[in-house]
This record gives sequence, C-alpha cells and structure tokens, in this order.
Amino acid sequence: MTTTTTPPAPAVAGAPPRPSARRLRLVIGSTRHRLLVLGSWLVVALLVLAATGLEPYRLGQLSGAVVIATAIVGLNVVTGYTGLLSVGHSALLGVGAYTTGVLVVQLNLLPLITVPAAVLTGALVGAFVGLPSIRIRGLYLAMVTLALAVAFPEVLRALPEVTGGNSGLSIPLRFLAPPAWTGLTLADRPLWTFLLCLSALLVSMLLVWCVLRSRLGRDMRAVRDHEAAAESFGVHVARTKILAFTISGGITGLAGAMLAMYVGALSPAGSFTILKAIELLSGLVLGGVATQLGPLVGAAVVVYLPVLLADVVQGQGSGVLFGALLIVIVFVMPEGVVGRLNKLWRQRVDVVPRGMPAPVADPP
Amino acid sequence: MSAGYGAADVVHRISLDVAEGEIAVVLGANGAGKTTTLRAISGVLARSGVVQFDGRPMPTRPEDTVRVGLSMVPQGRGTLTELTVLENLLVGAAVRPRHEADADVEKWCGFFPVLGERREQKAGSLSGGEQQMLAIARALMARPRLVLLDEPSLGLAPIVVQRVFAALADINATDGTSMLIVEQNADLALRLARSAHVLEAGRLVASGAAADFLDDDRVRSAYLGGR
Repeated sequence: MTTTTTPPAPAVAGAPPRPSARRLRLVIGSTRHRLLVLGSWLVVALLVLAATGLEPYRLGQLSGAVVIATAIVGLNVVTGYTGLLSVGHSALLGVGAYTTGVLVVQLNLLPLITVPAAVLTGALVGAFVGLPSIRIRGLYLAMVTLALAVAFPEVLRALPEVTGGNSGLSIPLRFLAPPAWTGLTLADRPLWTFLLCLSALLVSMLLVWCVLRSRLGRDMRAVRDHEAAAESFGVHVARTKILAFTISGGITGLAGAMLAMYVGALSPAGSFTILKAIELLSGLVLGGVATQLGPLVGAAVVVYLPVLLADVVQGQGSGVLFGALLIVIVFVMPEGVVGRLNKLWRQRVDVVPRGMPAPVADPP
Repeated sequence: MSAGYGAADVVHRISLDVAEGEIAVVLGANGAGKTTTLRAISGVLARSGVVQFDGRPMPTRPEDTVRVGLSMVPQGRGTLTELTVLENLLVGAAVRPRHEADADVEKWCGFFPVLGERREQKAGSLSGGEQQMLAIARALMARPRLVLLDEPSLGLAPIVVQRVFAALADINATDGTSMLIVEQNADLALRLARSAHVLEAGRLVASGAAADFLDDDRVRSAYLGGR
C-alpha cells in the first residue's frame, strides 16, 4: 500500500487546509486509487441500469435531462474552459436538431445516419460564431452570440420550404423506432432514445476529457486566465478560440440531434429560443463552471427542480420559487455544486502522481 | 522603431542593440514607453520601422517571435492563475517539442526548487516572488536566445528582488541567454546589466555602458533621481 496518511500538511498560501483536518494522500496508480476509480464506475453502471428500469414517462424525462447535460458539456468548452461567454448556444442546439429533422423529413434518411451531419453543421456554425471572439470578448461577445440566438428562430420561420416554418417539422414515428438489429420493439422507444442520448453524453464528456489533457486544452485555459500573457508566450490565441468554438458547436449540435430524436417534433418557438440559451448557462453556473461533472448536476437542476417545485406550489408561484432557489444556490456555492465539492475534496485529499516526494514543511 | 496604441505613437524612432549574451537594461519613468517598446518588439503590438534579430527581420506575430527565439516575462508576471505550476511551464514551451519541454521542466524545477515542490499547485496560490520565478522559468521554457523582462522587480520585497536578479545573472552566465530588461529599480538593474538605455517621453535620450550610468552623477540625477 503506497497510500499514507500524513500529519497536517504545511499551510500553503491560497489553499489553506484546516489545521485539524487530517489530509489523505492518494497516489495515482495505487491500489486504493484504483479501487476508488473502479467503485465510481460501478456506481455509474448501477445508476444507468436502474434508470433503464424506469417507467417510460420518467425515462423520457431523464433523456431530456441527458440531452441538456450534453449541450451544457458543449457550452462548458467555450464559456467554462476558454472563458468566452456565449448566449447563442440555443441556436447551435437548434442547428443540430434541424439538421437531423430536415434530413429525415425531407430526404427520408434514418435519424442515426444524420448524426454526423448534425455534429458537422454544429461545428461549422460554432466556428463561424467563434470568429468575432478573436477581436472581442466579455459582454461584447455575449451581444454577438445573443444576436445569433435571437435571429435563429426567425431564420427558421423565413425558410418554410425547408424547415416547415412556424409549424415546424414532425419526424414520423417509424423513423424513431429502434432499429431491428437492437431486438427492441416500438414500445421500447423510450429506452432506445435514452441509450442513444446517454451514449452521446458519454462520447462528449470523453472528448472534452481528452481535449483538456491536450495542448489545446491547456491553451484554452491559458487564454481564459490571461489572454495577453498567453499571447506573448506564443499561444496561438485566435486558433485556440476558434477550435474551442468548433468543438463546442459540434458537441452542442450532437445534443441537438439527440433532442430531435427524443422530442420527435421541432418548432422555432420550441427549444431554440434565447430562453434555452439562458437555461444552459444557468445549468453550467449552478453545476460548476469549468468542471467535468458540473454539466450533469446543472442539467439535473434545471430540468428536475421546476418539475419538483410545480408539485409543491401551484401556478406562477413555482416559477418565483425556482428563481429564488437559483439565487440561493449561487450565493451559497458561487463555484457551483461540483466546484464546491471539488474544493472540499482538495482540502482533504492530496492526489499525487506516483514518485512525488511527501510534502515537506515550508521554511519559515 | 516606433510604436503606439491607435494613432498616437508612444515611442518615437528609438534605436537600440542587445549584443549576443549580454544583459541590456532600459530605464525610464512611468509612461516613458518602456513596456510599449517590449510589446512592440515581441509583436504583441503593431510597430513601424525595423526590428532585426540575429540579422533577420523580426517576425510581427507573437507566436512567430517566440519560435525564432524571443520570449517575454510580462509586466505583472502574467501568471495563469488557474493552471498548475507545471502547466504554466508547459504553456511557455508551446513552440517546443514535448520531450524538450519535459526535460526543461526538470531543469528549471531544479534551478528554482520552490517551483518543483509546488508543481501540482495552482499558480495563483504562489507568492509574488514565486510567481516571478515562475514567469522567468516559463519564458526560458521556450529555449529563447533573448528574453524580454518587463519590470521583474515590480511589487516585490527588496530581498526577493535581489534573489530574482541573482537568478537572472546566474542564468545569463550559465546559458548565455541575452536579456533586455525594463526597470525602474535603476540601481540593481545597472549592476546586473552591461549596457543601458534611458527612455524619456518615448524618446531614447541616453545609451551607454551600464557602469557609466552608475558612476555618472549627472546622469543619475537627471534620469534616475539623484541620491
């Protein structure tokens, strides 16, 4: 066992551990670390298994939350890790959803086949939205993305031959049924949709995980922390921002494709207004900006909390209560739920690579 | 070379040389154009005129100037606060291949042991002096031939400033890295440097051997505030 418990670690500026807390040292690759990782995955697998047993209505609701989580994972790439505020992700979600919708309805393609196209269009539009971020940032960039969010439903209305205009598109049920090779019947559609959405979420999270460990991921966070300095160190700032927007757009487009399959009907006034963009942003902030599990928690909050509150309070009151609760959460945990949990974890546990020396006391 | 922000030039037709392996210092009061000069050389700011590096024209984009061997220790240290010390160092090596970067991390963590001890910590949790060491190490990660340092003494206790300057002297002596340092702490900078330049309101008003500036009472009182 290479894991040892050390006496109270020396006080370190910025992250002072509690003097009384015994800090746990967790060595990466040690037996205890491996067990912990294995255990976490086991819990995830059990949760997924439990979810597949849910009644169809609940399972559909969960699919909706998973789609929102995927979209927030996409938003997190630009707004969380690269520090570029986007209020336009409702449009990127819509681009993905309508790519799938239009290809299925107009060309009779199978929805699954349209998924790469949805990812691609999302990425392209994302890159395009990213262009102004080379020159502007902060509230000014937010204004440009806001314009996209506002314009998108109008563009849909302006192209009725393609998008069905105001009344939208309805994907025939036969396209949404599970394919024969799965052995599932039409009655199993909620399960099939859920598994699809879950796969999309896992792929997106894996992609972000890989990006964060790459040079691009480091450059993104460098640009966020200190753009001028990062530039002077030779970080290609413009390329980094465009790539972040492209990846973000691709993931959000994927979420859109899943949304199209889960809902089955698309309309300009539906899921692609500025309200959706704000919902995604709230979810990101509540769950934890620039954390990898934050989007999951955030999506759960923005999808389930209003439903729970509607059971407790009737009518308009539930909306007010939802707003009040959001304010409370932001005040109590400004770093988001997962951000706070990460902080508490870091205060108690040192995760260190194998072969790092034990911490030594600071010279006075 | 001239440079500035928008239509207004902040530095006007200045001309200076840094010889290979030498430490040069640019002195001047606030607003004299010291930082603007460095930013223009590194390409962060647009410039007019000629900047040559090793006989060739200096590229105009920052990522290219880093690639040809110029790197920068920005004013205020430019710490990437949410990144770990290790990640800060690796960002400095953005233009180098990975195996060189890994070797250089070990080299500079050995040279600045405090960085080695803290390599997995967020850089924002370091003290000011430690962040300055980090900024210097990060600049050196690019394996530069010339380092531009923008007021490395800013906001540091005198004892820490001495430590930083001693480290710079050491690096210059061992690796032969040329340095162009912009400073207000004239005394210490002149002792470190071989040549010196004085900027006043965007114009170069004096250039010469650093030792002469230290000795010359007239220069001292005119540009550096007399003792």
